Amino acid sequence: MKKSGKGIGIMFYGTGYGNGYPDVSRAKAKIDHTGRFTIYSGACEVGQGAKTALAQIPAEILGISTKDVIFDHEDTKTTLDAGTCAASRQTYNTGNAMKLTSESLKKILENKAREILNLNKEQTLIFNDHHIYQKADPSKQISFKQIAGSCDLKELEIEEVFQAVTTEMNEETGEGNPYWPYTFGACGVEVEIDTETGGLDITNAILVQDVGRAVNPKLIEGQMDGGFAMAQGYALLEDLNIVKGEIKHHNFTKYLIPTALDAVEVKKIIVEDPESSAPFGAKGIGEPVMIPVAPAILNAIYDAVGVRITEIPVTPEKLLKAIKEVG
Amino acid sequence: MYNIEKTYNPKSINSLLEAMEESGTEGKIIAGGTDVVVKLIDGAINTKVLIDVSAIKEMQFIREVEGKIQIGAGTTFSEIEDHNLFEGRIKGLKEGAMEVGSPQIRNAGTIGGNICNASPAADIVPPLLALNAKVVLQSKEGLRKMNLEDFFMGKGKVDLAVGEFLYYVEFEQINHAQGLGFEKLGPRKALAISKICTAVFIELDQDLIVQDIRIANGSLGPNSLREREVEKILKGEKLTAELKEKAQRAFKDVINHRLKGRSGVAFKEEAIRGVFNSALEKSIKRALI
Repeated sequence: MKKSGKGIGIMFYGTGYGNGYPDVSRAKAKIDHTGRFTIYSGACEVGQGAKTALAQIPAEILGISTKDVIFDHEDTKTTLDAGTCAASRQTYNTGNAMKLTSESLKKILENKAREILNLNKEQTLIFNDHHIYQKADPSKQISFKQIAGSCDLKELEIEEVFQAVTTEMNEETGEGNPYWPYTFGACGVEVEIDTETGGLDITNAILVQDVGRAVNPKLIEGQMDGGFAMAQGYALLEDLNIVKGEIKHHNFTKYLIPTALDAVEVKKIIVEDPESSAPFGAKGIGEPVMIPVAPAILNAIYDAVGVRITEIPVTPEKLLKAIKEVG
Repeated sequence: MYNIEKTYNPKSINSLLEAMEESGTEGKIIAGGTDVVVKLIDGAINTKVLIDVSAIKEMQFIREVEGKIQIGAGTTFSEIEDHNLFEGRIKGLKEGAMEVGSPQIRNAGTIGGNICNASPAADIVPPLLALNAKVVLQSKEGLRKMNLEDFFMGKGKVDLAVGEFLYYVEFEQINHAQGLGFEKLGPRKALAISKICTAVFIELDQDLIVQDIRIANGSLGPNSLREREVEKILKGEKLTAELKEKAQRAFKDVINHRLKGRSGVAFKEEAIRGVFNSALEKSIKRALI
């Protein structure tokens, strides 16, 4: 017999290394003799979209197109350390370092422009496509290239560092500020369970993620689909099968992950609530998108067949046994 | 790691027979390679001579000859999946082919390889057993025909003599009032080694009396096998909910008895009810088309 049920899971997640561990990202930027902008930071592109999303930040600040941002991001010879691609920290932490660096460089360019164009601090300047002009009188303008030609290029180089706020928690009192910022998320699923075989199908899924600010909505949706699939495998399939310390499922024939046919069409909702300490309000969502899914599935199983599963993965064997036990 | 010293690439059955004679017991036939290559890499087989049959067009066919369907051993699962002969009443065979691995594996893997590899979890074998298929074997001495069921000699073993290969499988075309159903229980929806796969061939008369039934299982014994004890319960009886329930209960006992002491028996003896029921219902639906 097929039985269906619904479940939800909710979560909050502390971004970064946390608990007082120094969480530091560095970046440096420069304008070269042709007026081109380059930014260096050691954030690795591991498929999460760092290369794309992080490049959008200086583009926004300097008024240039993202495709004109030269982002040197993995070369240990040229880049500064931006920490690991872990703890869902790159968009927030390195994003802040990219923002600080770009803002400092912008300030330098602005000062140079005022000096050359003979404009005082009261005059508003606009940055657009490698040019700076006076808002009130756009004829007063200068290009990045002209600025570069007017000074020592060393003056157009800058480094900045961002360190996340984290203090070690007091084990006695529980006081402290282990993480900042936090992200929030929720997942709802509907499952259909075959009570004769223990087979489980996810028939409907919705995932809601607070992102602070969606720097790149398409990338976030990709992360949400990926996080859901990963969590689906975690909840239903993936088993290292460790026997006396030895991993028995040591290849993908035995350690099963979802295939394209197992993937579920997930309805994705992005919630934007800008975080004041974050670059343009954006928070990291790499891990958060995975977290509420398994609890939602377990709750849906309970709703469908009345059994509380306390060990994952919920294989058909385990589920059928549990169903038979409650009768 | 493997250490292949010689390969043959025959383009015809005659040159295949020559290659087999030349290599004697050393020669190992490879078709799609979806099992052989994995075994070579794992060190599960240690052969120095490979005979690649994938270019022999004479072994790649699906044809109907005097009411019998013949499938060449070199036919891929994709070719079976795409063939219009396997729609309607006999769709259970196509369903078995479609459950094999992934599209990439089905494009390479062959029905002959799946049979000769003699894995108890071969998805195409239960539908063939339920169809009462025969295998046609060829050697220099000529052709030899036998029941597919008798061809299996335990896990990984088939009744092939040295110098003999599987040429094609053959079974009778399904007729009016007959249907073939298939169901597989695997850990995920593709690329899954079956935990149970069941095929049911049924023939019903107008009063829903079971005129004939053949049930075959995979992953529930050393080879895919027929379930005659359960067939006996159903044959000649009117198909009622009570009868189906009786057959399901009997199935549980059969599996319990056969797999006693094995890990997974508690699961399989329960799950067989659902898998069998699904295959049975499909076969009934198709018989009543």
